[in-house]
Amino acid sequence: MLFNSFEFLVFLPIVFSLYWFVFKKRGWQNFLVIAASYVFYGWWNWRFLVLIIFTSLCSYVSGLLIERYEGRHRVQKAVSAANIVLNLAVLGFFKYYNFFIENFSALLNSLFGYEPGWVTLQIILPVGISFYTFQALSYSIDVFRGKIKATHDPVEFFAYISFFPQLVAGPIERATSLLPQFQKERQFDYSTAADGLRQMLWGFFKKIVVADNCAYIVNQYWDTFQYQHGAMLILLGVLFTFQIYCDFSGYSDIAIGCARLFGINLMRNFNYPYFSRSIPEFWRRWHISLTSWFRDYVYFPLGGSRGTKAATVRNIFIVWAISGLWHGANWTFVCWGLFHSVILSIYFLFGIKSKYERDIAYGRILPSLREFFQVLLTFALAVVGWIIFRAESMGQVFAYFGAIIHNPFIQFSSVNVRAILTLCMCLGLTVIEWIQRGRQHALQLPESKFFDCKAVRWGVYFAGLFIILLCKGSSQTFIYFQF
Amino acid sequence: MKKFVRNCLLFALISAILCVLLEVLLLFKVNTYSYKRSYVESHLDDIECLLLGNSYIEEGLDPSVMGEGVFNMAISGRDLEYDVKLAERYIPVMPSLKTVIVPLDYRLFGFGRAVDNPEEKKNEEDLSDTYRCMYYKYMNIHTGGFWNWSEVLNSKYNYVYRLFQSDDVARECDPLGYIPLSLSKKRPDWQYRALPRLMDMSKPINESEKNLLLARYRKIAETACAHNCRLVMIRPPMYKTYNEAMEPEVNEEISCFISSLQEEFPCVEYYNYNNDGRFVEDDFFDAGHLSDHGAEKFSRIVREEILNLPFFY
Repeated sequence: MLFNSFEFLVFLPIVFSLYWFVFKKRGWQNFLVIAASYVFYGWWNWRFLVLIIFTSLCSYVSGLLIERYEGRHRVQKAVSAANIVLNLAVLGFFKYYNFFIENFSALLNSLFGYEPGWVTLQIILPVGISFYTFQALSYSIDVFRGKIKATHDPVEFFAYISFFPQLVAGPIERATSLLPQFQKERQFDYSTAADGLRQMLWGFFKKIVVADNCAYIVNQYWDTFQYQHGAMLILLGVLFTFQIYCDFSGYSDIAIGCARLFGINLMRNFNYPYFSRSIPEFWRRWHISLTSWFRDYVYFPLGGSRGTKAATVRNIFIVWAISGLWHGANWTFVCWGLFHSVILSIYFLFGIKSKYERDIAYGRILPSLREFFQVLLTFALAVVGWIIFRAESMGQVFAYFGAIIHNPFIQFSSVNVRAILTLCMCLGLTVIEWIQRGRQHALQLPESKFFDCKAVRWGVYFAGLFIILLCKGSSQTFIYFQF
Repeated sequence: MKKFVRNCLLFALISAILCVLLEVLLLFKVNTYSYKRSYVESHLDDIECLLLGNSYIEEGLDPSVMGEGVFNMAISGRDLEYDVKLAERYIPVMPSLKTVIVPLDYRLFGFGRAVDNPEEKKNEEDLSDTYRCMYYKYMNIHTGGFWNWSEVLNSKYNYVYRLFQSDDVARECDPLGYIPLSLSKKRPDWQYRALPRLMDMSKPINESEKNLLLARYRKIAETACAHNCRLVMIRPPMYKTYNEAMEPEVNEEISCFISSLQEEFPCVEYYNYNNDGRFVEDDFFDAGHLSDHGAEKFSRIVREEILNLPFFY
């Protein structure tokens, strides 16, 4: 089920009403969460519910076993490792089987002239498999590390894995943060729920108004990039940069807002990443739940930055190659990860400042000139990265950048007015987010006499709703569903 | 909690009222569907040649070139199901009607053998709700649930923009229902656009899909013949990339079907312009559609060869 669908419009009020008015006890509420989440997921393809149940079951049992064998570190380690292998095997089969078969065959063929004749399979990629697998893995690892006690209640654990707002595209929650929320009674809080709705509205606005309009232009011109002029190609890169941000952060806003309606707080996933002054800062603000997951479960275990400079650079490259591969079974994603690892390594090796005590333009309306150029450079690097990310093959990446250089820079006769208008819309969004950058989301209206007036606040909401209806036409699915 | 529910209900109520208002406003604003319906219903006595079908006809035949009494009722993306309903509704009540032209769409003859393309399939599914809504709301053809009436819920068109457009722009087509595709908007990779989906001939034919399609063509033929009209089944000109992408076996099946249909219904005529050498590059907008230039040429050919009218009148 998509958030931006009629089905969800009916589904959400029903689940909300049952949750607060019928299933008032914690246990029943958790049970309802599981049932609702399975309906939400099964709406797409109910057969893949088996995978979620399998993943949940593996992690649940592994948690219990780790607890049972307390003091026997080797057994605990074996159980934890077995759970990781099982979960990654499922993920690997559905997501990477064809990729590895094709590349390994090609490698054998080029090195030894041997054609193994392995067959690729027509495998459907289950929606959100990377997200819930990582969430399940984090639980068993945290139990093994002693950060959290294993839960004995299967209902609360299954609710933790399958909680529908964040099931298919995150945020990837940690057991240490989300599981305890399913273990205690939840109280309805008016201001939290109301702000959740505002956050959902803002998420829908970003997705339907900005991301889908950008997608319309990008999808239309990307296939024929060889024929586009240089400025148009740069514009397409910029529009895709906004598209992927508004698409994914829009989804996160809807998910976080939706969870708040049920008295559950999810972690923040985006913190105005395009206002970052460096790429390391960008990655502390973009898809925070995944970046911190890789930091805690891959980068730190590898040694992090505690070893030699060479070891740290190696760790950065490993983490980012895996991160790229997590996004999809394609070399473009790996190269996108490596592109960022090169930049992060440069920051590390040359000791370029990338941590800031205060947010950009703290206490000021406008950034300093230095900050402005830092943000501009970071944004430009992000655009380059997203072009690699969007391309279908590495050949297309090189051809795309080649076309930017070799094609005429601008042809006024073929300037696309809709593309320019869409860019203006993106700039409008940037201004709103700049003004609201100190808040959780841009629709958290400031406390002032003006916004205290209910008519003004509702006027803003209805204006947002009307603009969403105005732009609803070319709605697309969320990009991150495919990961 | 009470306050929250009260505010939510109030917000939902106002939103619903706004949406209903929007739906009603749209109802009074012209669009292709409502325009074509109202034109046909106000010219029932005058129409001599009715063009049905999808974009191949809507963008490929210009009634102003084809002579008087011709109207292009085709609409882009239309499923044959709607053509059947339109034929059944209008052919019996058009006393002057002599000819009905319907395209023979190669893509419809895949019968489950087309190679899967999830993106394309999803687009088709997305748009099917839009069509259901537009035919229900503006042509009174009901093929789904009552909720299909709502554009806000179903439409993938930018319907609100229509409110801000003049009637001529909102109508999209010219007064006789034709939509010209200007050469100036032709894309650089036009030869590879609008190609038919590749077919996997080793796949078995979906018999129910096949029977449904053939039954629909038969229904149109039956209606036309019963009212002494010629049913002209036409295969419009395609660019060579389109022709190359077609499976000869499927073309053979289409020919067999036409022969059997002609045996059953003598009023059925068949013309195949798929590979017509008179059409050059500039006559095409993409591999499957004619440009305004090509549509004018095709309309003249149809006028002369099918409607048997002289070139100039």
